[in-house]
Amino acid sequence: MAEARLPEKGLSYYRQIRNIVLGSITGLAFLVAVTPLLAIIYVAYDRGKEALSLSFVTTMPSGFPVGIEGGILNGIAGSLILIVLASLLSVPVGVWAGLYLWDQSHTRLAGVTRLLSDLLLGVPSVIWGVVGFYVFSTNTGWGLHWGFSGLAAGLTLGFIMIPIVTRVTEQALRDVPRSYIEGALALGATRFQVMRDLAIPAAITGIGTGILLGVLNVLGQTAPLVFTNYYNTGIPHSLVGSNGSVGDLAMQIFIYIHEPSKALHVKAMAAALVLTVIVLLLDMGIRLLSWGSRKYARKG
Amino acid sequence: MAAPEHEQGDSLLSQGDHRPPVVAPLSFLAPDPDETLEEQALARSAPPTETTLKNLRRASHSQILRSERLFHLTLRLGGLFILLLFAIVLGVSVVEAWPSIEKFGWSFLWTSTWNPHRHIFGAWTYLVGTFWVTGIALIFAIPIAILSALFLSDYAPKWLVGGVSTLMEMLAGIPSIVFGAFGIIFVVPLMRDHVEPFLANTLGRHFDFFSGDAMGYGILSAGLVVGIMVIPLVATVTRDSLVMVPRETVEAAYALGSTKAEMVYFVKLPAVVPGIIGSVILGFGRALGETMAVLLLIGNQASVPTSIQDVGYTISSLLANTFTYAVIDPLFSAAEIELGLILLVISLVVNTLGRELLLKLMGGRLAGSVGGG
Repeated sequence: MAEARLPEKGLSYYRQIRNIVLGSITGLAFLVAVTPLLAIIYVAYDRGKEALSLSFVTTMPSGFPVGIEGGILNGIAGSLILIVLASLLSVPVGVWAGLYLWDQSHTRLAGVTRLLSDLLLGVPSVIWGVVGFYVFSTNTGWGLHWGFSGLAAGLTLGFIMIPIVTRVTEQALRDVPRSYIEGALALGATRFQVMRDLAIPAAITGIGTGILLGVLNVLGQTAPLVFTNYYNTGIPHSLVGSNGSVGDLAMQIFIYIHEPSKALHVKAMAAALVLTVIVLLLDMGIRLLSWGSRKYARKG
Repeated sequence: MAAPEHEQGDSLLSQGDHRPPVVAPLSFLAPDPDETLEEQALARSAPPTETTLKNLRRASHSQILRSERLFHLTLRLGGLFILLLFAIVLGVSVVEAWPSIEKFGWSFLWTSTWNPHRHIFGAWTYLVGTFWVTGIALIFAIPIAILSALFLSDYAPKWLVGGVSTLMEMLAGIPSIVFGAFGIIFVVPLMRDHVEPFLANTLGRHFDFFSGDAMGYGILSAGLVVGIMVIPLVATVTRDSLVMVPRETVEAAYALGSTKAEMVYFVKLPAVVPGIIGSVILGFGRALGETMAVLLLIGNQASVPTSIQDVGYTISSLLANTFTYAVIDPLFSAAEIELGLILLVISLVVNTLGRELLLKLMGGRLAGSVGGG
């Protein structure tokens, strides 16, 4: 918002000073807000730099207690496995539900679905953990009896991702100009043709952004893994059953920082830096992607 | 039958560009526009018989309708997944918590005993702990977040504003476990060696509320770290509502002779009170469900805190910490899940409130955020 600088002569000193003070407070508050957040990255680097090297991300943990030597390859591999599993569940379901909400947005059922999908966004992650435990992991009662395993954790993270993907898909479809859709309908296209040939191609960047946003949101999730997967110092051969746990970067940080060992704390901070950098890079990628698509949309 | 449609078409054309934009939903199963044109053409060339028209419409419709209806139903199945997921979440929580709900009833809420051996469970300790941490977090975060939002919306120089806003939004994405690790490595020693002795020696001399043993762990450390975590969320959402204040309001304030600070604090800020409340409520919901950072920092001791330096326990940290032992005993696990159910209900209510407030203000565009981690 362009504002001309006001002539502030003739104002009482009280008002002039108040103007300056109230203005500077906001700047100070911003510094107070951002400093701890930047300090987190700095502290992670500072306390973890002894462990940081290329081999830190390419070797498996070793030594005793496990992790005191070697790197975090099990965590990185496990996190990747979990993200792939979560996406396999949430992308089809989430996009499908998003298409539904967009296409039949005026119906009462869609209104209810949208409300519930938004409510699911606010479910605390421990609750997702409990749900995942009873649906996938527990070995008694009902449920799928998969034990603490990668598949159980991956699908639990998929549950968390579904409402995010749904929300962003619907929003991306809504951003497709109404005139395109009406033009196609006026030319005699069926709604299926409109969706397949027009709406989805036009919204594909937005949908991709939504999927990445979902991945970003589940990448650092730790609490659901405590209930469904816990941790593995190696890479498992199977994703189901008692030996099916995978390693995970966030879980690895949690376990290392919980140990009363200086050396493991160093590893934990280095792993925290790696996780933060991955998250921030992914975030930046999402921003570039949506910025690019917005620029494209403005040209078109 | 053909005549009125003809008239309608003519009248639409004659209105020209002044026609209001068509805002009918896409799924509105309109008679195919092609058909109408065909009908109009027919109507112009030769007056058709009633039956010709009917046959024409039925042929094209039955083709389209069959596939469209299938498509309609297939899509609806996608929506049903969401309903199913919600039912699973609520169903699992209620069914698994039922033994405890049945046994303790409402008194579960205000019983402060938690004794797995004697099978007496009550939520009070954990409810108080949860609200302590959330309260400290919000008291710390809200003023800073709102003032930062003012900085982002009005005070930041133009060349800086894009950068700092993006920075703020990106920092909101740092995972909770990283905050927890930072808390253990940095905040706990800082609290133990400097802040808590200082508090005990100054305010603590007059008020017991601020005194205590300097341990570093406790509701103060947990609350502060959760506060740091919540700031970017509250600040970003508040900023989004601040930039939607109409320009006319701003200019009217200037025209009446207010300084910039008077405009920002006395005109703009009151204008977005619903947005601020909404963002604070969202922040509250986020802080409530926060798990891992709190688990690492709060000290995990089941006692009702009486001083700001005390240790405690929150619902989410209790679940993450002890649930895997609790499943051995059905009543124990049911009690823990009932705690989780309370957390779930509060979160859902809080998030719905915040969402409604912000949706009303922003016209439907709201970025989602997942609570906890």
